[in-house]
Amino acid sequence: MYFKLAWRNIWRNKRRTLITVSSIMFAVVFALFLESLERGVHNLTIENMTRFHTGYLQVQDFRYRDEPSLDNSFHFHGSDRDRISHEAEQVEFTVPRIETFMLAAGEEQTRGAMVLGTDLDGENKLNNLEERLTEGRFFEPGDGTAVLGEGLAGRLNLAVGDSLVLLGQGRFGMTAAGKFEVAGLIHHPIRDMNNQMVYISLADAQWLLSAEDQITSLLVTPTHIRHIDTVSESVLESLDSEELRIFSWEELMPELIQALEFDRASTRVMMMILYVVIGFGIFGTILTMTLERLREFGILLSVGMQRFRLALVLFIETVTISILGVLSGFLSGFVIILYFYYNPIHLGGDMEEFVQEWGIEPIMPTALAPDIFLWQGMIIFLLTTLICFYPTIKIYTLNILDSSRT
Amino acid sequence: MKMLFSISWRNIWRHPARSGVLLGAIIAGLWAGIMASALTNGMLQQRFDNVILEELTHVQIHHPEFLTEREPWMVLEQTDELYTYLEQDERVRSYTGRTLSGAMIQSPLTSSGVQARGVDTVREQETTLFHENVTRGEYLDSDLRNPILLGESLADKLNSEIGQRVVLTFQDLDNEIISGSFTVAGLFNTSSNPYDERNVFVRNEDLGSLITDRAVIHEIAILLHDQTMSERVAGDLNREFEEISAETWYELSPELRYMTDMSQSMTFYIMVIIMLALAFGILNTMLMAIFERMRELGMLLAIGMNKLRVFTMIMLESVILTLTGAAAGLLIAWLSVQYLGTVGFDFSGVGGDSMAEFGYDAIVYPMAGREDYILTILLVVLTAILAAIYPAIKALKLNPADIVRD
Amino acid sequence: MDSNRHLSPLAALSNMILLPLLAATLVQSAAAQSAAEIIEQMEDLMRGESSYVEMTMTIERPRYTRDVSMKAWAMGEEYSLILITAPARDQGTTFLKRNNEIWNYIPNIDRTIKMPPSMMSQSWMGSDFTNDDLVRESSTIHDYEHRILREEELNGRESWVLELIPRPDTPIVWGKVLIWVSKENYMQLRMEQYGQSEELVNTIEFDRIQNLGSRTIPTRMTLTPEDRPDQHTIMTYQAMEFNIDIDESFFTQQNMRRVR
Repeated sequence: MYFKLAWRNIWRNKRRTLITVSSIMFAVVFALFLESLERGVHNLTIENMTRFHTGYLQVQDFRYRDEPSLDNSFHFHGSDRDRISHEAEQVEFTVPRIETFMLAAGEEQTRGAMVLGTDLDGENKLNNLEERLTEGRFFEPGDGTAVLGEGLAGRLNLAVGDSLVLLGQGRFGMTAAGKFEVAGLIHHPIRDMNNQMVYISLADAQWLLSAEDQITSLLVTPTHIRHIDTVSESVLESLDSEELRIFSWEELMPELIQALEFDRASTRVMMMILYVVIGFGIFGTILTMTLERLREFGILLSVGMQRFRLALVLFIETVTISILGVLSGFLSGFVIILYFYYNPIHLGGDMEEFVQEWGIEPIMPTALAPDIFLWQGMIIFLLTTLICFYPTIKIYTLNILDSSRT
Repeated sequence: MKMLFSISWRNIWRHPARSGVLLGAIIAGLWAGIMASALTNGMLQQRFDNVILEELTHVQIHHPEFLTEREPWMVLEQTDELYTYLEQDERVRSYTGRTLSGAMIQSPLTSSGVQARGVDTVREQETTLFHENVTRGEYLDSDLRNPILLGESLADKLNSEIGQRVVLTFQDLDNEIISGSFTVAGLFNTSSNPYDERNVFVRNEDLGSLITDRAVIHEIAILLHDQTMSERVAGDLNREFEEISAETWYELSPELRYMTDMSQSMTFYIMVIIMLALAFGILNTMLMAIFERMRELGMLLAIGMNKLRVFTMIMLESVILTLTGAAAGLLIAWLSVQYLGTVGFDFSGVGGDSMAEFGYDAIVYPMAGREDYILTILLVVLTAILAAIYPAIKALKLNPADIVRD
Repeated sequence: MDSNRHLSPLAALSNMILLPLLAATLVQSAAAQSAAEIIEQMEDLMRGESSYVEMTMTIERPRYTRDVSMKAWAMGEEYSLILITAPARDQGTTFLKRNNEIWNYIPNIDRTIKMPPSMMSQSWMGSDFTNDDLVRESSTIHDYEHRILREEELNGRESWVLELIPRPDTPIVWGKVLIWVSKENYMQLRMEQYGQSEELVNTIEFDRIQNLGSRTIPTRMTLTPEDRPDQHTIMTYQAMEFNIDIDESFFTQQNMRRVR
């Protein structure tokens, strides 16, 4: 009965309802968009940083972290990789890597170099390694060729087709020495990496370092960042070894977290300012609406309607309007977020160029995540409901004579 | 006109609640807008302090090949001329010379590869905030012989304590190997663990006397008054001097630039969203207020008041309200910014505490420049007035008889 | 680990080589005199103008044990050449030290490489020694203040216990070093290296006293880091000759490829 009354009230003054609903709707849209954009950029930053460095997740021997030596590598066969891709849930792909510090020598020059034995397909999925190639081609597994950073090649005076000597220490103190033909050069935007990196195929690296079927780390990329925990568990389960640990990007790159935390905290502050702004917007609309209807309330009360009933009707009315507002906010918010998801905001100007040089898309995407809708919807709904207590209270304190006079 | 003004004035006071809501919306909007800008400025400044002032500075000068080759002999030859030049450049706030050398650090327990940074104790403290990272012991201006600062995590690894001796081995300018003993004067802790493990600080005269017989400078770090000048200052230096390479902070640290630019764009869009929300809030409240008055306006028209005069009256009311609100909002915002600008806004209250754990300063000092105030006032006032025009026009188009009857 | 140069093969070689010591100028007090004299006598035992040695280095780690056999020639402090004879994979690899430089010849890629400074802190042949240990020169006499701490019996031999404290401006990481020298024959029997809070870091035992190269000397040294008792580096001498017929032309890059 009350609901019917409230429902009729809502449609009696369509314009008023429309304004109120739209003010709530806009509030929801803004809050949704803000958080979704923040989340999207946040995830993109993590993705780009992890692609460049550590990957989202890394499986390592438990000793490797404190002592990153080849002695602390672990046994990992191609069949392990297949098993993970079959068994483990939400794993998009894995990249096995063996890396160590070695001497790289050309004809005359010798420099320290980071030697990374890896699987090219995996690296391509992870960070489009092949696109960084500026000259030559990439290695095939076990063909005894290497790809090195332009900077390092320059320092060693090496060009495509020349031979590169790698010298260092293999697993368990074995001497590691090998000659590799330079198959190609890559340009890495991070100067230190450009000056230090040597890529060879995993098979070659394992042979060179006397580490057959050994890797130092397995990079695991989940299908989505929110699946990290599930993936961690299922990968470890599938590898089934007491001696392995899995580390998330948060543990691998703590300094990135700080920067991101700072961003998150600042967004949270901005979010609060946004709530103040939209809170006042909604409050203004509802307050004006209440004032507009004081006369009507006064009449209803004077013809004998109980304050409690009137308040209840009004409350149902406002809550219904809130729900309508939030739902329409969801709908338009979803459309807008979806639009910006597929047509993300571009970073303009020289920043766009700079970011592209990194092989990163110069965009600020939105994130499509159900929890954003849930939380923001709930917050705005609560905010509105709180505001809706105002007219209810007003009814209880209303002076009938005064109100019908205005 | 005068009469219209007094009618408007009286109208405003006749409906204190309605006027109050509008005033409140405008005050809140203005306050929120200015606070958002001020916090944004404060946060960007904070980020800047954390990364630029710690060590990087705005512009660095090196031997053209130093950053690639890192050979000890790649020193800056014309330091005196450079210093004189920098002294005269008004854009330069401060500068400091550094001696850099790859080194091996040894303790009785173990050894590790590090980058030794020989700093000018006086100038370095004037230019960067690195000395604030010293957590135990004292900075390099102690009386100890060959004092050295170690990162806490490195000291842990070496099992070295303050007052103890460590041995550093360098390559001197003639590529000979040379060792020297240093006394641990203090420990530092930056936000980055890898940095702490890989960098040690000594006095540049101590390092210089080991690797050669004179003071040598590999790097001059320059802090400017205005960071936007970075590129121009670097360009001028490169034109003015030969055999050097001056680079801006974003050339030196593209990753930092990526992170900074990303969060800067992000903040920009957050501001846009808040401002939009603000505009919509005011628009909705205005709409509500005007529609509520349709009856009254219709009455005025019905008794023969000129349409233009009614329009002017409505607009006058809006302008008076808006300006009053703007003035009050400005005052409150100014007071808030002044207050928080001195005591700071603690981010740890909104989840920034994880930053503090890493030694990141979680207190942000909001600050607003004249352009922030002007921009926000313009935005709020224009929104409020534009929001008033639409319903005012709409009111005039209606048939007075209909409205009164309604 | 890297400061174990007292144990490193090349430093050990250096110790064997005659170094004209101006002991008289170092003498400051009666106690120091006798401590210095003991050290000098001890070092004399292992010295010669040139030397040849065959030895095996055993690296014991919790997860593996590895033997590296080598032949080494040395002349003065400046020159030495090491040829790896086993394991098979490393056979023929040579290291040449000329003054401060180390060269490395690897037969399977037929290449000689000069060790850059950045590699100096890297492990040598997988052992506890760094490349830097091979080239670093230090003098037990010059770099330390020394005194006789006490006299005691060790492994059935009467010996002095000497305490060595590094001089302030010397690049030595130890807080102090204790050495046991047998009164008979001046053989070094044991060495303990301490950190700067007086904590024991490494213990080095010298045993298997035999006649080698017409001298009676300990032919095995075992290093045990205090914090890793399951980890050892053991040097065993099989043959030793002093004052061999050799000259500077032996220590060349050409000879690195030829030497057998």
